[in-house]
Amino acid sequence: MQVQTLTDREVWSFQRGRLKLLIAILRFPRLAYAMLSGAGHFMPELETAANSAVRHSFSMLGGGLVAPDDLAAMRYVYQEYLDHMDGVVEAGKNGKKVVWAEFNLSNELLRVFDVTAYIPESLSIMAHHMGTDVPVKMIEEAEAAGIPAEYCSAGKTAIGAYLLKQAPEPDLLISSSHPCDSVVSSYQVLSELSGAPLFAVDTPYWDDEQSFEYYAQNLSRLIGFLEKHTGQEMDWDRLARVCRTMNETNRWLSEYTEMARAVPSPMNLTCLLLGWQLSICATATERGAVYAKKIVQNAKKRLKAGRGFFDNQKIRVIWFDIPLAFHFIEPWLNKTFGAVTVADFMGCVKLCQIDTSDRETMLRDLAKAHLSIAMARQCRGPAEYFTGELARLAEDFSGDCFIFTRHQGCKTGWGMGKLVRDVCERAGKPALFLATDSFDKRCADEAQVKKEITEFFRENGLA
Amino acid sequence: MEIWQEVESLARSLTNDPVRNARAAGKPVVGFLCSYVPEEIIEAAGCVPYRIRAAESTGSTLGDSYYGAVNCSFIRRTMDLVLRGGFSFLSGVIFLNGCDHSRRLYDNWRDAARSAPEGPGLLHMLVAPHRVAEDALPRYEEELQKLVLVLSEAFNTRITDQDFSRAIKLSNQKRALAFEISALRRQVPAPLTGAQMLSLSLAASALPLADAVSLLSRVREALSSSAPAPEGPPPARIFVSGGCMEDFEHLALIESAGAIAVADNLCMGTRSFSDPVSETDPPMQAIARRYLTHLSCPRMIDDFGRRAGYVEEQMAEAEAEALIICKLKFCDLWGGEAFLLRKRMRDREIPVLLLERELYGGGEGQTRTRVQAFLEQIQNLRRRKS
Repeated sequence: MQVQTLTDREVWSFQRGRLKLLIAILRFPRLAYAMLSGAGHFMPELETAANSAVRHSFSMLGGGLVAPDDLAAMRYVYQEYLDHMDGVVEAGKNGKKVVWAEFNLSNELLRVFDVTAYIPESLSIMAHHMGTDVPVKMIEEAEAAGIPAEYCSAGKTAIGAYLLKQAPEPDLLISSSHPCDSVVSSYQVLSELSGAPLFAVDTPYWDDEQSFEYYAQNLSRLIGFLEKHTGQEMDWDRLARVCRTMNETNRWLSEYTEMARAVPSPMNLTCLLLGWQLSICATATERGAVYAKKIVQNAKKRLKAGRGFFDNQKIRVIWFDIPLAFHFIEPWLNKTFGAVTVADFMGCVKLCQIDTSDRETMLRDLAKAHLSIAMARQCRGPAEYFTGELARLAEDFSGDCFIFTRHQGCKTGWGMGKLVRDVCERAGKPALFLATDSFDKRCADEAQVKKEITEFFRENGLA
Repeated sequence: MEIWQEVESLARSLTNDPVRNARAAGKPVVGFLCSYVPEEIIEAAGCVPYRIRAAESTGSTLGDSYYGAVNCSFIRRTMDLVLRGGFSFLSGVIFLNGCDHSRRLYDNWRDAARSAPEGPGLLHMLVAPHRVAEDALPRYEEELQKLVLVLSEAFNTRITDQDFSRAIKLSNQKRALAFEISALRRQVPAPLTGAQMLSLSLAASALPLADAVSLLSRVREALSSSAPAPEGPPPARIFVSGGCMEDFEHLALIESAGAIAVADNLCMGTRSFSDPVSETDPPMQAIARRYLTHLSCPRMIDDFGRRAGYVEEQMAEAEAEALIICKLKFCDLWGGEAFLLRKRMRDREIPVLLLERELYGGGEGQTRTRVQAFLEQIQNLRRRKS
């Protein structure tokens, strides 16, 4: 696919077709499981576009390790994702305002308004998962236009997609001042490029009542911004319903996260990360709640039976970084080394429940929930928010080792290098620090990542 | 002139006699890292406000043990100095959530302080909103009140309104003088260069306020009696835009190619002395308003229009012919700003050059060549226009 010849939102249309195929396969979970279990031995090695698509699709379905019940549940998320893609492809044609919302925000407010929500970073996440080179093309386009190379690649893909007309023209933009400078800067760029008004939620640094109150005031102003620009009035009853669904989803996902404490772990990272994707593109949807409930119920059955989600788990990994573009690593870890990621950075859900009694309680608790979302929780404040959680996970989840992706654009993460190494040292567990990029595979490709992990396991007597 | 030797020496040094004397007299020296930290509050608390720079730094080998290769050289060199005891004369440091790199300095310095108990007793994070909107003002004021409490407790002092008024007056005096001197760059021929102005601003930021006022007054006087610059081809008039720049020789290098920086919006340049604090409003309100709404840094997410407007307005007033943007490597905030400024200036057919650099040194020949080529372009434009 040549970038120069891309037509409007062609990438989305293309990915939509692929996703429909996956959803069709998942309609028959037992058959899919049987096929996937055997297919692992026949994965094409040669790196061509078609082969890459096959291998990544295989990973998206859990690499032959996800049980039929979980495969059936996954279909709910992909269906929701398909709706998101439909919204993107059809955006601007149905008279609805198109609102771009940054992926670190929880977008339940947009679910209340009758708008098309577009999460700019979602394109590259899905494109990665489908094994295409689209994110690199977006990044190259942005860099060629003059966007600094050192930006977080998530921001570059969002801008590149806009420049290549793969993103719908925004009517409004919503962003925040967390978790990093790239977000602060890239949304200013998007607003200036598109001419669309931007509302930035100002994120407080600390976790205290004063900060929550300030953030809640920001949300209140965001509602005013949406009302003004959409001409719609906030429906508080609808928000209460959305929040109740969100509460239910988060309760399930939180339980799912916690179950990984068990040895062997009944939790599957592929399912957990899918839950995270759900939270960015389909915040608080009914299908999302059903998905979360089903994967928990399936994991509970395994827990009761004392079984892991696969047999012979040997190495428990704490992967405390952003493994988004490395979804293919987990099934490989599972099969090759019997290694399982028991705690991670993005998937871990620790959101507070929202009291839907009245407007004030909803805004107050939404503020607390937003500030507890992955990345906002660990990266916006002092280093202890990051290292403290890492130390707790190391203790509570019986990890054997740490892996850090070390995303190139994450200056805040790199700025804590010594502090993180100290936590690992105190835990007495070996740590692997990769140098990769979650959205830009030019930095480190699949083979290199696998090679470094293999050497790390061998050098430390883990494999 | 002798005075410039004094200024440059101050700008190149980490500390100086007035700071040492103040400390010897029992006055705590409190460092700060960002233009959103009000020096008036530190002064009112009976301390010496000292803008932290990586002057005298020779590298970042120790600092690199805390940071990664993608962190900016200002912060790596500063951390290096911290670990070498370069800031042992400070009694406290006020940090700000300015950017990703600098907010980690708060964490890393605290970590280093655990094994160096002789270090500054006070390490405080001041949190500034990322919006200049009116509704962010009360939040910022609350944070400033917290800072007042922290300083009062740390240095066992009570800050009165009179203390604030005195500090505000002194700081405004410093700003007014710096502003006046800076405006002289616009004259033809100019009695000082952009590099000299930057060195003066850096020197003033490292001195106790009263000494800074005295230095600026002496420079002002010296300039009024100085001989005009020798005749020659008129240098290209440029506006310099960027964030952290403490290597005034970088600016001197640019100017030596045949240019004069007639105006700027550098963090340690014009941004540090633009916009006085109101002397009639209640002090804390006045300080909060000035610092939140002063000529902003790209960390402020809702203010690009005003920042770009300022550049355009000042370029018109100072008759600047071109814009040179100087950014530190790995600075996302100025990276995005540079992209937007370049786009905007190109739309208006104003020549723009973007120079990436490290905090000190490196790429001198390359920079000179690029600037020379750029200035030739400006000369060609001049010829075409005439």
